[in-house]
Amino acid sequence: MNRNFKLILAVVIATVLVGCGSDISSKPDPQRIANRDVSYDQYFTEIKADAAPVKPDEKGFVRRWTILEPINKPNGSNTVFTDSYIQAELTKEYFNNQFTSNINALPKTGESVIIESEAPRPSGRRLIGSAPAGQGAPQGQGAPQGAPQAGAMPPMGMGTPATDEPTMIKDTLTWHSVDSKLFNIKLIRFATGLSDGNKRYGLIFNAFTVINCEEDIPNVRLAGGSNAASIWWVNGEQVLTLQADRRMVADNGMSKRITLKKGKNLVRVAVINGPGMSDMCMRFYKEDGTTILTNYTITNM
Amino acid sequence: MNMKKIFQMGFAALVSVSLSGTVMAQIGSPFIHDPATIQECDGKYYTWGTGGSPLVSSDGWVWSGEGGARIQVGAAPDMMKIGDRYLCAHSSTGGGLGGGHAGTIRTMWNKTLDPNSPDYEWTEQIQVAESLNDEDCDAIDAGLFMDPNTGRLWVTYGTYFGFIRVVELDPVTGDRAAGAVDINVAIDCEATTMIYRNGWYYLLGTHGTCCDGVNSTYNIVVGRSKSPTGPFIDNVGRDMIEGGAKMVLGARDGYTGAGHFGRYIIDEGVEKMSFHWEADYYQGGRSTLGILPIVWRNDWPEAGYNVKPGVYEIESERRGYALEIATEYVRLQGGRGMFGGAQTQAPTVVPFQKLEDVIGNWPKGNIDVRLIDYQFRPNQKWELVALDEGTLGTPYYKIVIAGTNRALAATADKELTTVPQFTGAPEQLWSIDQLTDGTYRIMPKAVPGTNDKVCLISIGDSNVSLGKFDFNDVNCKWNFRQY
Repeated sequence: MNRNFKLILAVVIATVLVGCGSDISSKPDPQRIANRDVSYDQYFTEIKADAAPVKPDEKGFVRRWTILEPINKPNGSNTVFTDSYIQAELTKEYFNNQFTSNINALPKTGESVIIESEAPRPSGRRLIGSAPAGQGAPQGQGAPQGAPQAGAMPPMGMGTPATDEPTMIKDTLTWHSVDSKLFNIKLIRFATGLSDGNKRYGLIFNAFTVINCEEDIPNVRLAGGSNAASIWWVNGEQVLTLQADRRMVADNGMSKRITLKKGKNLVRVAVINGPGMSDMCMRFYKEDGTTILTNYTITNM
Repeated sequence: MNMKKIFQMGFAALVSVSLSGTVMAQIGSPFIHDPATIQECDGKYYTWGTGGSPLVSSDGWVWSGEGGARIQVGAAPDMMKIGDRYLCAHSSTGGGLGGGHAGTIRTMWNKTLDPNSPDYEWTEQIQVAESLNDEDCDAIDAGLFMDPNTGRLWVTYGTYFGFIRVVELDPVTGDRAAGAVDINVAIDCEATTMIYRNGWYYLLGTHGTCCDGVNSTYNIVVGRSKSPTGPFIDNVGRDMIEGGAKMVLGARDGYTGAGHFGRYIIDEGVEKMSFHWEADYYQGGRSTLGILPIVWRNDWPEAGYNVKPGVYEIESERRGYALEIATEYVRLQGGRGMFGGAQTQAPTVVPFQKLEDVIGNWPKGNIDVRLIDYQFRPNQKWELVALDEGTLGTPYYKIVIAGTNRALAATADKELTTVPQFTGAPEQLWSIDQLTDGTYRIMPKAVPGTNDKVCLISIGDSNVSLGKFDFNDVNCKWNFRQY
C-alpha cells in the first residue's frame, strides 16, 4: 500500500476513533511485537567476494545477491510503471559494463561506481515520472488538464505539483554481496540501512547472482516477484518483465522455458519503486511445476 | 457447374454459417434418436440410434451417417469396448405404450466398428433378458456398465411400463452371468445406464414425454447408490423405485427433450455426456445428437456448457487475473471520485476505454500475452468465434481481441503469442472443454513442430505458456466471464 494512502487512512481512522472517545496511544507497545528493529543486519549478512557457494533455501529461493546501492529515480507515484517506462528506465546504462554478461567482468563487493542521477525530491512535493505523455504519469506533468477536482482524492502517492526540471547529481554507489536472512530481498531495508535512512523511496535497484550448474538444466522457468516493477535477465537475455505497480508475490511471474547451462549462469535483475515497500524474490521451477532445489549452487562471482 | 450444384453449395454455405454460432448440438447431419454411448475406433467416433442407423465423425464435432454401417438392431442400442472388442447390447421393442411388452435384450460383439475393415463382423446375437407380453417391465433400452472396482459387467433395461432392471453379464461372452438374477431398481424411466464415480454408482435414466418433437419433455435424471444393484436414491432421499430422481438435463433454448445418456471420459476431469435432443429448433425440429460436458457438483452430475460465441474476459483459475495482450497500459483520464464528503455534482458516467482509443499504438506484428488485473480494457476482451470443426462435443474456436482479427496462437517453442491476422492455421484453433469442476481447459489444435498435446497454463500469476494438462493443477484451468 502506498505510503501517502496509509497516512490518509491513519488520519481518517484516528479521527474516527477520537470522535468515538477512544483512547489511543501514539506509542507502540514494545511488548506487543518482539522485534521492531529494521536495521540492515536484521535482513542481510555481508559476505566476501570469494565466499563459499550456497544452495537455495528449502523452498528454492535464491538468497545470495550482489546489489548496487540504489540509484535515485524519484517517482511520487507507482502508476508510471508501464511497459515502455520500465524498459526505458531499467535498461538505462548509468555506468560502463552495467549490463555485462561477462562473468569475469562482474563487479565485486566493495567496488564502487560514480553515476549521475536525479536528486531526491524534497518530501511533500509531487514527484513526477517521465512516462510518455498520456500513458504513464497521472494527470500530465504539472498541467491543469485532468487535475483532480476540488475535494477529490489525489492519485495515490501524489503530493503537490512540481514544475521544475530534475536536478542531476553525482552519486557514488557501492556493490554489496549479501545473503538475505529472509526468502526475499528487502530492498527498502538495503537502501535505508546503507544510507542512514536517506534513501527510501523513488529508487532503482540493480542486482545479480551467479548460478553454478553441475550440468545443463533445460526447460527451467525463472519465477520472480517484485515490488514494484522489475526486469530479469539470464545470461544477458531478458526473460521476465513485471510491469505496473505490484506488490511482491512469490512466483508472481514466470519466464518462458530457458536452459541453465552447465557452469556459471548470470542472473540479473533491476527493480524500480516509487513510494512504498520495495523487495524482490526469485527461484527456479522445473517444467513439471516443482521448484529446483538441487544440482546448482549460488555464488557472487 | 450447373445451377443446381451452385444452389446446393450456396445452401450448404448458408447452413454452415447459420450453424457456426451454435454450440449445443453437433453439426453436419447429426440426426439420431436414442444414441448409443459414443465409441472411438481407429480415429473415428461412432454411435448408433434406434433402428441401427449410424453416425460417424472424424473429429467429434461434425457428424454424418456416411462412413458407418447400419447394424441389425431394434431399439436403442448401447455400445462398450471391452478389451479389444466392442460389445453391443440392443433390444426389440415390445410394442410401445399401448402394445405388448414382450421385449428382449440381446448382445453381440465385433472387433471393429469400421465397416471397411476386413475384421468387421458381428457375432451371433445372445438373448440376455426379456419381458413377458404382460408383466411390469418392458425389456428395451439396454445400458451397459463395467464396474471399475470389480470388473463385473451389468446391463440395465426397461421403460415406462414397469420396472427398470439390472442384471449381471459375463464380460467374456456377453451372456448372462451364471446364476444372475434380474433386480428391480427404478420405475418411471427409460434409457437407463449406470456410471461410477467417487464411491457412488449412478443410475441415469430419462423421464418425461418422448417422441413429441418440439413439445417433448424428455429429460435426463439420476439417482445414486453404493451398490450397482441399488437402492438408487435421489438428492432429496427418494428411491428411484418410488420414482425419485434429480434432473441432469432437460431443455435449453432451441433444444428440447434431452434423453438417452451416455458417458465418455476423455481425460481425468474431462467428461462428456452424449444424448439426443428430441427436437432441435435449428434443424426443423428433428432429433439430433447432443454432446455436452459433465460437471460434477457435490458428487452429482450436471450437464455443463460449451462456451457460447461472444466477448469474454479469460480469467485464470489460479489467481483470477485476466488474459491480455501485452500492450502499453493507457491510463484513463478523469473518473477519480471523492472518497467521502458531500457530493456537489450529479455523478456522470465515466467513459470506458475503447479499442479505437488505443489500437493505434499497438505493435503491428505479433504481441505476447500475459495475465494481470482485469480492467475491461480493449486488450483484455477476447471474442470467441465457433468454427465448423472441432473435437468431441465442442467446436474449435478462434480467439481474437474483440473488434480485431488479432488471434491467439501457439508457437513452435510451446509458448503463446497473438498474430495480427487470423489465418485458420491449426495453431490458431482452440478447443475449449468445460471440466468436471466447471472450469475450462483451453487447447490448441496443434503446436508447430510437435505432436504434444498441450493446453494453456498459467505460469506464475502473471504469465502464460503451454503445458501438459493435469486436472489437479489449477494452472491448467480457466474461466470465461461476461459482465
